[in-house]
Amino acid sequence: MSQTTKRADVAIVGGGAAGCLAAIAAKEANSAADVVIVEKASIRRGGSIACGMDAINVVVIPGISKVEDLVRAQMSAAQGILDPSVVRAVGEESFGVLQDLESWGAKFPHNEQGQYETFKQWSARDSAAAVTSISMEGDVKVILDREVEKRGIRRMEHAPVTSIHATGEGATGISGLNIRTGEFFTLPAKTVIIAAGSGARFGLPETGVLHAIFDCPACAGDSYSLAFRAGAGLVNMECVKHYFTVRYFNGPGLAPLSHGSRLVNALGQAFLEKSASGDLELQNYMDLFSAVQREYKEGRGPVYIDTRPLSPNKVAELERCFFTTERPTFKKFFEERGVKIGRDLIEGNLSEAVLCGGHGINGINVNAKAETNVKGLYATGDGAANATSLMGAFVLGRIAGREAVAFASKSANPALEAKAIEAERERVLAPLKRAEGIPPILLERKIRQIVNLYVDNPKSGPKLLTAQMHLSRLKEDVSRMKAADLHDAMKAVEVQAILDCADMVTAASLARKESRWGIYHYRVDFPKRDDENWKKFVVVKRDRSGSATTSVEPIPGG
Amino acid sequence: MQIQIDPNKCNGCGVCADICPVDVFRLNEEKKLAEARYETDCWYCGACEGDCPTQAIYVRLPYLLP
Repeated sequence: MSQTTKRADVAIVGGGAAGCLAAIAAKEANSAADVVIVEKASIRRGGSIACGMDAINVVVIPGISKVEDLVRAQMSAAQGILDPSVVRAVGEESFGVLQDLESWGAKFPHNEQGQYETFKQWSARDSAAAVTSISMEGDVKVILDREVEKRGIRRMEHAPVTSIHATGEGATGISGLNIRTGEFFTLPAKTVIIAAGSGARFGLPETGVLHAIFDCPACAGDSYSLAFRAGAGLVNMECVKHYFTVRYFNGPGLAPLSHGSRLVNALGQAFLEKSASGDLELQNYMDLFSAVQREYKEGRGPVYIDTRPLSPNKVAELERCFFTTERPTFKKFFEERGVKIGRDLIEGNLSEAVLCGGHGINGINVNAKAETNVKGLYATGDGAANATSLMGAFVLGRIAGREAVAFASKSANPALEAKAIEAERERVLAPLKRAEGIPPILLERKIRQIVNLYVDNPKSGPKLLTAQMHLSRLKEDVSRMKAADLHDAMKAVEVQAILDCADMVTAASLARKESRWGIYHYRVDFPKRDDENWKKFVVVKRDRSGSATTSVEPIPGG
Repeated sequence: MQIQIDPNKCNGCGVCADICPVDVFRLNEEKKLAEARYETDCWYCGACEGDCPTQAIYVRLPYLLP
């Protein structure tokens, strides 16, 4: 089955936090515009903050923090390799977004003086209030779902987008697969906003369980791959993110530090106090990771989160954060292992490799208007390079929605190419038609193994070239995949997105002939940071053969 | 089973199939009951447990090490 649906002014790929804000902003700017969210799952629970989030990590609150402090902090954390105007734009509108969220029913607790309850992240403890975090209560996705519904925004759910169509003139629409009806659909659109999340399924986790990963597995790298295939440029793909997590569980290991826990090595010694120096999340992640690796190297690993110094009040606070909004199944994990917060040591370690433009800096190259280099194509959320976490998704979403709807009002109806639609239909449906072949999850496991073995740190020229050799063989296997059903057909497309991500990261890692960002990009063969030659973007684009190609470009405003 | 659905509580409303971020559930039309058809894809976010109107779902963790 194939169907072309009604044309949209603004088509938004992904109904997470970023996509919802984009849709609301577009509709508020022009209530007559046809705005549609096309979501892989449901708007109610789709995306990384499915069950809520305990805090917003970046917000500039008048009287408490300043936009320029935020810009300085994030630029320094990114070691200068980030567009400062994007961070500034997020800072400037962050308080407005907070007020919107509040008016829709999200709760930001106030203290006894009637001011917002803010806290410093563990990494910001020594600094001025450069980055203010604010506690958040309420089921944010349910709230956003309701606000989207109220405004008459069109929605297509259970409908993973597989392709963004673009000609030399710009974006013309999207195609996707309805995984409930089996219908391959095409939606002509004057503008398209990519809000399809991070590249969560990148490295293979220590447990070997494909979905036992930090970020939502529905975010398979769709944003990155969709942009890449539409001709958009991506930056910092060589800066591969890891989180610090409770080992073998996909819950954050750093939240306990903000609540007063400390990190200790196997000898029970606190080892971080001296190395956590600065005021910057990314910078301190690097300090932390270097310190963890040092403890292992010198025979004092594993490392543990020591929750014993916590007062009963702090224990209760941390349990509330862990067991409700942050990750409800945390409770089961601790119960299964007989671990009690406040009494026990909890082993921590680095997560699998992740791509993320919100918590990291790699993603689609956008400017302060959320524009990509493809006309009519915008990006926000964890797939866009912004380094401002959930607030970046909210604000850039709002900006993208506003800009897109204005652009749409001036543009002619999109002219989709029938040949491109047909080719996409064939690509998406082919795995369902094969009598036999490779199950998508087997191919996924192979790609993610290659990422662990050859693409992730420590990197070197020979390892990365070996990765390219393996990846090009795996690319050939794409046309041998067999999908058992529609759920599997979605996976077959996701696997190709993961493969695109691996290709992009490998090419960018080869291009950046220096080491930077601690373990996020460590080249054994170029071990030093080289600011003189490398305070630049490595921009990745797709060449005619479909492979990643790189160019080195100056940083805007840098 | 990693995801346990109590057949005595499930009313076949399909909320779980609608909201799961990673498409784990389908409604068994014959039995009028939800089933966790793709439970190995579970991210154990707990959305289904919380949204099920009859509290019929219990999510166990996958077999994580150690």
